[in-house]
Amino acid sequence: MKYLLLVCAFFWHLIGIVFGAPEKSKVIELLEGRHWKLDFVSFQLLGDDTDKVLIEIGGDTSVINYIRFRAIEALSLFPTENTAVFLESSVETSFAPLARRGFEALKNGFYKTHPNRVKRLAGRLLKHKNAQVRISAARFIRSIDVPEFKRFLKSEKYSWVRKAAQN
Amino acid sequence: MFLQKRNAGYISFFLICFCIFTVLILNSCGRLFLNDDGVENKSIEELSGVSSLKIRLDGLNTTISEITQTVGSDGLFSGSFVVPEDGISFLLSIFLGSNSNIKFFSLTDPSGTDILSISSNPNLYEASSGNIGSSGYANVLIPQSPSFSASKGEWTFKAYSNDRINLALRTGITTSTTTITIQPYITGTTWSASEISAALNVMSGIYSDNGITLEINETIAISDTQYSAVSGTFTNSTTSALISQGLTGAVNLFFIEDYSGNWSGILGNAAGIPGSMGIVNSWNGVLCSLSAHASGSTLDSQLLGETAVHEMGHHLGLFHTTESGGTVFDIISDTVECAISLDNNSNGQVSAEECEDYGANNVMFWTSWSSASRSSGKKQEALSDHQQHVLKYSPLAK
Repeated sequence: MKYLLLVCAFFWHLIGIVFGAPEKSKVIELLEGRHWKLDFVSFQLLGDDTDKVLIEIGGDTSVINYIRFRAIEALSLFPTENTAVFLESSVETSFAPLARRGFEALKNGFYKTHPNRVKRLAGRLLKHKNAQVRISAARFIRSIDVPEFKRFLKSEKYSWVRKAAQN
Repeated sequence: MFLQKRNAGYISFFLICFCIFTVLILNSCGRLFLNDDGVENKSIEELSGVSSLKIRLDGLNTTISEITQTVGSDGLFSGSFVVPEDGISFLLSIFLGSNSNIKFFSLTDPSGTDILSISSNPNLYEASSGNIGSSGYANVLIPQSPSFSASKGEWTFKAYSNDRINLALRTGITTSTTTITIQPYITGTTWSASEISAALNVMSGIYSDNGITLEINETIAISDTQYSAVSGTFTNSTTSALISQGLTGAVNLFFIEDYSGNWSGILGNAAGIPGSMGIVNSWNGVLCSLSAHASGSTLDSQLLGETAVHEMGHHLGLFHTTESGGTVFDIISDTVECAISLDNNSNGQVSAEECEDYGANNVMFWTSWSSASRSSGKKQEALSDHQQHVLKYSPLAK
């Protein structure tokens, strides 16, 4: 019995090596470059715990922003509870460019599974101080709640924001 | 009653005679005008179909004019222009207001070679936007490599239905010192003009090391909040309105606070290869994102400077020396190529690290050094002699 447990532990360890969190450097490698597109296949190949590494990168203020922006966009491919909590927190507390990307990632990753969660956040963002964040939230609201979108149009003071939200 | 009729008859007869006399006089005058104003006495502009309205760009030997076109039986628009003996370079631009796809059918040099044809050697087939086609605006730049030159004589073109065709023609002599004027703009409130000066110095240094002096104007701050973040699509109405604020005689660099929409992690982009030159429009500049280049609120001036040089290189006609897949290279013969065989990690892309000895130090390489390599001092600051040639011959250079 003891040997059986040891063998099981050994295999569990091997599984951990194969399917555990990828190295941070491997993930960053996929986020580098002057030109970048979200490569769905490459990220999926990194394994399930990739979200933890992406969250670490996305939340690291010492990392240059283009890498953080891309890490946040890539998180939409890993719709775990950890991801949702991190993105919601980023949206509420980060500077506007990162907040907007956090919302976009949440929308892309969670709308199908947690529409109300995304809608609640979008509703709050309609009053965000940054215009681009408001536009992003308003475009989403427009697709799911027309009366709410119309109320936004009435309350929004900038005409260019109203116009952008409708495009 | 009879008298009234007879008077009316006289008046009618007089009017008819007057009309016939007038027509004869005008006709003979017309013949005289034609005889006096023979082909040999016409100006180059009249001969070439170039509109007499020419605008000379501030401080440059470059003029902008619109070319008169005629529609042929094949439905194509055609026109011509003459490059004088001291012609250095030109940019032939084609516009279509609806932002539909637009391109040239052919561009034939004075020797009779259609340089957009795949059967010509050299050619710009599938290299120039004027051949590939682009949304709303396309062009052909001569020279886009030293294999081409703005040869003296009559150039003719055929083009698909368009709104207008403009010619930016540079004449004079090329000197040993080349200067290009830069007009920087900054949007948003997070960073100020003084905070991008270090990046502009990096730019200036890179160009200086490659034999070109940059004359950098004072940065103009654009306070309107709608321009803080704009789309990287140059036909977007907000982006278009921003870029259209650019000067005609300079390379306009728009340091925007951020990209809007889906341009998540983009560092910068140019309106074309090349962009528009000398004309106020949506394609007359490049975009560089400030927020993408920051850690916290501190800008990475070296990377921002390299991005600006890279995008400005595109704007003036330079391609990526090697594209990401390691199978497509620029049209310039002296740039180092990095083939897909050097893709050590087999991810289908050649990184700067994999191409360290194969052109990764060229500022027009498709991608930048990774963060780790940059931290260890790696830079992209080189341009080949032939790339410098394209920049030195630019219609925006002097």
